[in-house]
Amino acid sequence: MLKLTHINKDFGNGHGLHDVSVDFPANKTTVIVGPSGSGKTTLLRTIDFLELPDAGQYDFDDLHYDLSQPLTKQEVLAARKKLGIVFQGYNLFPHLSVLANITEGPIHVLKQSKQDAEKNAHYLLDKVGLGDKANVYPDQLSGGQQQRIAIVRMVAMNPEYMLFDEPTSALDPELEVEVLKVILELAKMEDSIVIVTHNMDFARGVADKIVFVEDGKIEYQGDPKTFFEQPTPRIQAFLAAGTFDPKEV
Amino acid sequence: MDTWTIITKSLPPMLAAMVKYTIPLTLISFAIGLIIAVLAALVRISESQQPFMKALKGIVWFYVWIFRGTPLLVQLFIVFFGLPMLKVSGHPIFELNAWSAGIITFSLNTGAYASETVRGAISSIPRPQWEAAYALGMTRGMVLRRIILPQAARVSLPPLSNSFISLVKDTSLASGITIIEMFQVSQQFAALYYNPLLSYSLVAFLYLMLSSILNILQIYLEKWTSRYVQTSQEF
Repeated sequence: MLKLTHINKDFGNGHGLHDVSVDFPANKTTVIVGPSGSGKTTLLRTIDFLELPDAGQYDFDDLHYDLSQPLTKQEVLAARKKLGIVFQGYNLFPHLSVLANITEGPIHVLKQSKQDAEKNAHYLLDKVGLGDKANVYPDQLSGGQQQRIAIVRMVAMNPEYMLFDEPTSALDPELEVEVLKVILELAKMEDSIVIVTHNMDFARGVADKIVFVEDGKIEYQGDPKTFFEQPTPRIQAFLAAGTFDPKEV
Repeated sequence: MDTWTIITKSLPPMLAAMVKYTIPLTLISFAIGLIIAVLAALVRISESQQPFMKALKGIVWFYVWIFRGTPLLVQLFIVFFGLPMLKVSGHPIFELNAWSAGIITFSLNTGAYASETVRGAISSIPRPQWEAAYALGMTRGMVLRRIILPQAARVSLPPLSNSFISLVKDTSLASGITIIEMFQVSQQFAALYYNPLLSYSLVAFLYLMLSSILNILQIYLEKWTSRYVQTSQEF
């Protein structure tokens, strides 16, 4: 169980998080949605300490951190060891081959043998349909291929929770689908997933829980069915704004 | 004496001086300078708030300021002729022969310039690269060693090659602190045969050859370090 309580983060420009309390159930897929600049990405990055909140309580299994105190490097590493993240911009390591990108963490952080790490990497690459790309550099691949490799890089670390920060926002629809399929596979295997997305159809299809963030506050968290079928007027306006109807323009 | 005789008489000693002094002086100083540069760059990009690191940052800043801001020839003179004057109870603290004084000064001078190159190259690697590496559970040292520095090496290669080529030519200044390197030898032959144009042109040609070899080396290194990027400029 991963739980954030009374999180505050002030970027000093009106953006940030204001007294956010939210939990992300294990073995479920939690989808964070909300308008641009609402704080969804900040919330997700806070889980992995890529953003450090000003205050709040962080509870993750046996880890209990008071975020108003500075965290030690060991505390941050202990949390990151149980987490993996996929970024909007893929962020593969350009100087490493696809295979080395995937085995970098397992070999040098988890101390797996090179042989085991590479065997697992090949197995995972096959699963996402990129078995023939092990020895190319990321720069030679399409965005959709790079993002699938970024997912494999994360899965190879065997994290307890998988975080996705708008994983398909930089992709055109065709490439988006190939990435979404991979995420859906992971969701079906009952992994613990937290995903930020703009794709409402995908959110609807994959979510066990919806978190709606607006202006740095949680406006809704719970059952996706209620969210999509009995929305409050504000949620309805948000959902409607995301659908394009030429007759209304 | 005819031109050809002068060349055949003076070329072998010049080549000997090149092999014995110019090349080793360049290679050793550049290697040490590069180590200094990376260490100095790492200190300068450190975000540590510890008093020790802050003091170290100040020292490194001061070192780069001094060595970039004064002429190399003056630095050589201070180290070789000046430092032996510092004495503790009658004994000099630094008693350096010309060779050590040369190595120390050339290394520190190259290190100062190259540290700025390396620092710039490290800052040019985008922040998401750090984040992706940290997210894998790496420590700062690992992120630097395995992800950032290898990419920074590619970026810093052309300016570092500049420093290397400059250093080859700058070793001619070692003639000022009694090292019988290539330029010093050419001066002796210029005086001996009363033909400064020929002697100095000859030594200039030899420096040009050395620089050209480094040029070719740079081209190969750039190709190798850029193997993972598509650098075609044709559109």
